Amino acid sequence: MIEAIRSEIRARGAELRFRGEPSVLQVGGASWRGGRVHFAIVAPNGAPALFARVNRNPADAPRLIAERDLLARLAASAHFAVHVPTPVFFSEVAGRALLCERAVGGRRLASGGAFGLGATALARGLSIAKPLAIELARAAAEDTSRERFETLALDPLRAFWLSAGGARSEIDPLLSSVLDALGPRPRFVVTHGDFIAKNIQVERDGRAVLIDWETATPHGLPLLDLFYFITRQAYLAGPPWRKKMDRVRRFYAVSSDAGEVARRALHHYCAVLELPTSLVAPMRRIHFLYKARIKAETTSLDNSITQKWLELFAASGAWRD
Amino acid sequence: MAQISSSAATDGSVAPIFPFVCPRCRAPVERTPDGHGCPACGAAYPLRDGVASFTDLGYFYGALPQESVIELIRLTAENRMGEVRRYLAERKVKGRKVFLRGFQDSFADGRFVAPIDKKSRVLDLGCGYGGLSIPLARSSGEVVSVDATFERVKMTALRAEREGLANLVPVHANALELPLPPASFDCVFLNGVLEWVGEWDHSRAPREVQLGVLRKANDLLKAGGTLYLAIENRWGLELLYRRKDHNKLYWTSFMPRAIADLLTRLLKRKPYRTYTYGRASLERLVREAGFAAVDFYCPWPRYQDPDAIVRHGDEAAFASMAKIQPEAFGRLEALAFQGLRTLGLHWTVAPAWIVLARKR
Repeated sequence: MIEAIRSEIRARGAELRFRGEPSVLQVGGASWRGGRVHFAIVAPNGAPALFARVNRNPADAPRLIAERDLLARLAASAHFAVHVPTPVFFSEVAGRALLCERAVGGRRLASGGAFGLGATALARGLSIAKPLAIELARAAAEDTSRERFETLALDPLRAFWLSAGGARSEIDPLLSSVLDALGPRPRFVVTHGDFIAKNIQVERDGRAVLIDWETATPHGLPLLDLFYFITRQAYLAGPPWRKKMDRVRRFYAVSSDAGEVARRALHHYCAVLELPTSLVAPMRRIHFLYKARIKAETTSLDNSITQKWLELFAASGAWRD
Repeated sequence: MAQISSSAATDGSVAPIFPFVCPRCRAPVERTPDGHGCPACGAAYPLRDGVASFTDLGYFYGALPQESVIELIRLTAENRMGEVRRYLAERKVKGRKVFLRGFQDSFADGRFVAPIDKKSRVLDLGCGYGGLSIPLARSSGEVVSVDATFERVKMTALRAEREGLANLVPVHANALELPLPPASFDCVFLNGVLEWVGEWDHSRAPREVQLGVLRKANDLLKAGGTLYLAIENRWGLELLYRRKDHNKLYWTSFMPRAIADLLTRLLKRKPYRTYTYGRASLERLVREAGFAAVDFYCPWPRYQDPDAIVRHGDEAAFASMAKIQPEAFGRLEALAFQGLRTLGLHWTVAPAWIVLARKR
């Protein structure tokens, strides 16, 4: 693959302003849904570096095509174009679909649990993540009918809960409350799906760029990405003597300064996007289910993590709003 | 000649019939009601639990204990994969991490270096529990997965069955006596195998045994076919301070072979036969086996589940690796490699090699 990519870049040398022999470096990636393999491409003449990706499993090519289409939509959005990697070309190399973009520079907003869970630290992270989540929810949003919204955005979650042995009586009222809160013309928002500090790259000019769009969908739910970000911080950066799931449970169930910062951010998100704040409570629950679904789709022997998020989803029904 | 129908490629791009040969006399074997038989020498080879078997059951190799593997096979056969991790964790089975890593798709990421496509017929020699064979089967025409440990082949077969990969042919056989005809593969994978083959035949020096296996791989390749060889670097930096040599002792790979042998005999009560190599001596070995156009790639931090793979000698790619994929190094290692780079020694102490060698 390395050699095949080199040949492809050589053939496109003039178009890419690459002169001389390109260097190609294979870099790994987590095995999400079988995952992707990434290749960094460096030009000897100092032309901007590129980042290419292929699916590990050739049968997953349609996912890469869907990602390309979504990124193209976002790149066409006046508000959000600066926050996505610039697409360069899409091609077939060695029998696999290959998506190539300009490499994003700068530094990660944070890696792992580099933020603490104090209110100040969370506020610092949210000062970049929240505007980004809001802009993403605005970009390429699409008004739709209640029926279509239910089919594309809510039914997959319902089906997942039922397949995990959950009761219909628990999921149906919750999803109905979301649908009711969104009114007669609900709006699909683009959801990144893995909206964590590690996937937010801050360029030297301060611009935040969201990378790793593997889990993104154009038929997403509002608030999901912001909850995802907050929960991830709670999960990683809580007190070290506490188990990670317990950190999340306590973060949402027990009042704290950091919890207040999160609550304000969520309410501000709703205000800017003209969404009712009554959406916050059901979406808090739903994002646990969404997490469980993502974990269930990972290629792994382990379903214990899925189970933990499902348990959290079930338990969160009894928490106060 | 009766040919043995073992598998069918999913898109029919590779001949669906796999013609085994007798490991003893090299004549084509025939399918019998209970396995395979050689009409020339009369040898009989049973089908064991649905797997074509050409060697005896006496050999077991693996980090996990045999009884645990048998239990895991049972769970897999009953489609209770979710319980596999729990079983290993509850009993704190030694070697479970290595075993579980083989179930992650990223485990086999080194394969992207190899030139294979949907038309390729591939041999995975020493397939283990299918960590490489399964991803290979998804992206190539046909994969023949061979291992001398029956339980490993069985697990590979079950995983393939579970995924509906009909183009994987599991074969229980010894790499020194393979039931495979010459010039039948586009690519032969020796992934973490060559260093161990010296232990399979104590009648010859380890290097001779390794050379024999490489020559066999060469023989099995079609003209222009490719050998993919992944092995640790004898001089890998990690071996200085963190990782043990294959004999489970520190620093023996750095020692002259005779001293390493003496030490292994003293401390492990067995000879030192797990030879690894630096770049130049590995290239010599591969060329001696009849290969030409030998290319070296360096996987970091290991060839299984690598964080990064760089072509040997590509300085720009090496420089980018530390920036783009910091996970590939620990902090101290990153500093050490920076220092070694100024001395021009960074390739010498790379952790492992992935070698692509073209058949002459």
